[in-house]
Amino acid sequence: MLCSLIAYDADGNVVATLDHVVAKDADGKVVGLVDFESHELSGGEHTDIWKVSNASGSKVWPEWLGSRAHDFKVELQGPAGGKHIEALVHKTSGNRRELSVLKDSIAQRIRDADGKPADIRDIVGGPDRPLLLDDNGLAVAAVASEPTALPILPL
Amino acid sequence: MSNVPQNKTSRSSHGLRNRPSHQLDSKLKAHSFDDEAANQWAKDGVVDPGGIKPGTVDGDALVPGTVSATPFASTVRPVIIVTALPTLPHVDHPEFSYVVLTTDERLYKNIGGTWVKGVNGADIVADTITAGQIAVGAIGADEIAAGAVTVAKRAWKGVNLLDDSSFEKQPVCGFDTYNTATTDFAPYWNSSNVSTAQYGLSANAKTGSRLLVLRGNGVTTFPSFGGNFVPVQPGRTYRIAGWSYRGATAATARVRLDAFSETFATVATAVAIFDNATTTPTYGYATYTVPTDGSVSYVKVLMFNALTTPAITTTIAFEDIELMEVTNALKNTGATTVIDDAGVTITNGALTVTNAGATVIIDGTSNMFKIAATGTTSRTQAAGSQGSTVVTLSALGNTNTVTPGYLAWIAIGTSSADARSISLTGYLLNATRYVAATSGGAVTTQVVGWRGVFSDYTIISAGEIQYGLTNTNADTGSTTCYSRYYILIEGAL
Repeated sequence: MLCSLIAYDADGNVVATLDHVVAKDADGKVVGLVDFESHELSGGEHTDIWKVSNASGSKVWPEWLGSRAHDFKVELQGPAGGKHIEALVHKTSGNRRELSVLKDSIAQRIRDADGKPADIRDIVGGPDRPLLLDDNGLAVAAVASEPTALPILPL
Repeated sequence: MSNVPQNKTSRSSHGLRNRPSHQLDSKLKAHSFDDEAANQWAKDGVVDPGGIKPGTVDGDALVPGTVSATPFASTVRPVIIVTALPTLPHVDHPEFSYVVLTTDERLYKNIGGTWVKGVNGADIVADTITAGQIAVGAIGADEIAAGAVTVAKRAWKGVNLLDDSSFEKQPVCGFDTYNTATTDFAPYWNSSNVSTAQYGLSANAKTGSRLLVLRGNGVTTFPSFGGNFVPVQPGRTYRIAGWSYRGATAATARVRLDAFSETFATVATAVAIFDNATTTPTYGYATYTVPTDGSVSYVKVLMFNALTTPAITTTIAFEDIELMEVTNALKNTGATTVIDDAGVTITNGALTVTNAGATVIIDGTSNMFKIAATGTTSRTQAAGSQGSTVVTLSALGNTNTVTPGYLAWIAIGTSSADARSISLTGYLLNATRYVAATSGGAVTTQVVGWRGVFSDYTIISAGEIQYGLTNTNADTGSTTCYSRYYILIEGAL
């Protein structure tokens, strides 16, 4: 599944995120987006994708949080050499964004879609539309706005 | 004789030696020694003079894997797993018995001495097969009965580009009445040899009550009926369709589509045709894809007798003649695909838009920036120091030689309320400071003092694209800046 990458320093502070990277073939034609998760699951090194100067590591994360990601610290879990980000912990409020909760929400949305494509943008955001978070690291709904009814000239 | 064996030997009528009572299992019941069952040593309550007592042997008493199909009654047949269909007849597979064949994982049943698939169409409950259970592409033309696809079911249902093609607008003339004046026909349709064309009622009318009937006037001339020029688009597919038939005498009712240039010169005739040489009204159709080279701008529908020697009284009839554009998803079947008549073209995957004068107004083959990568960074810097967070985008390759452009904003906070600045920002210590205009001069020149400056850049290092965010902190405490970057690379859309 499409994911973002989060780089963190030795204290777990988020120092960089990578939303997407366009993949090209040998002729320079765009063929898609680099699948960070598949690369990680197949044992690939993140340094094949990016390197961040003041980071001690990077891992995939299913959400796109934009610059708000830097308000969090990562909580890693797993064996040495096979760790993953289990949660993002807000540095001021302590609120947690749990990986297990996210995965359950995504799985439920897929089940509810009953074979049709599942829209999970409100759960994870997207490469070009990060989730809107408040100052405590909690997601808030984007305010839909009605454009003012103005006269237009047809194109 | 007592039922209890006595402590003496004697012989039964069967010639069997009776055992002394103390040798008998105390649990044995007394039996008549004239009964064969008496010679069966059995546990208490299981064996009786009639054999094994009903309902007393359970599955635990059976050795696993030893019960075969053979002992079953002929009306009780287990499903047997086989690796090859057994030769019939077979004692284990009487008629109506089932097997599972492991090679194809299918159920088979013995019907009349032949193995047949266990499930056939008659076994399927009506109306239980849904669209999702039918494999994509499984239903082809052969599976659809001729004429079964109605107007309501056609995927290409759309606007009929022909006017009055069911010929209902004309006045009723009767089957044997000639129309001699062109004004009797709708302006859309034109006819040659109009004196022999007629229009009238027919029991074979498919819609309404009228259809077009053309009658020959001899061996030299036969009327034709044609529609107006219909504009078409390059690369689009069109479909002519309708009903036709002939009268009693041999003839071939033909619907033909001809192609014309934008100056109405004939480019090709019969680009699509369908015929009916029978007396049965038959629905026919044919399709035509307009060339993408722009050579064809119009098409025209004609109806006439394609048999070259018609008899004098030959008649042919037509009804519900349609010309429609086939609604298909556009495919990039070649290097160029035209999307619509607004001049939008995709060539080798690059989008180009031209105006009516064929001037390129959007050139997707070049001069476009694409976002190759995007992300965020932050840099926390101690007081009185400078440092950078550098993101090296290895996935973009290590043979880059041209430093890419980029678009980025920098902010001092992550909230949407924090102002974003393009690429460079800072904050003031004080609005005004003073420096000397010359070395050793009076410190009277006013300057703007900065507490800190945040800046960013892109660079190529060892062929890899890098984005850097720099925090120059002249403040007395730690400061943090944040950035969102987009790496832009010129290319086609």
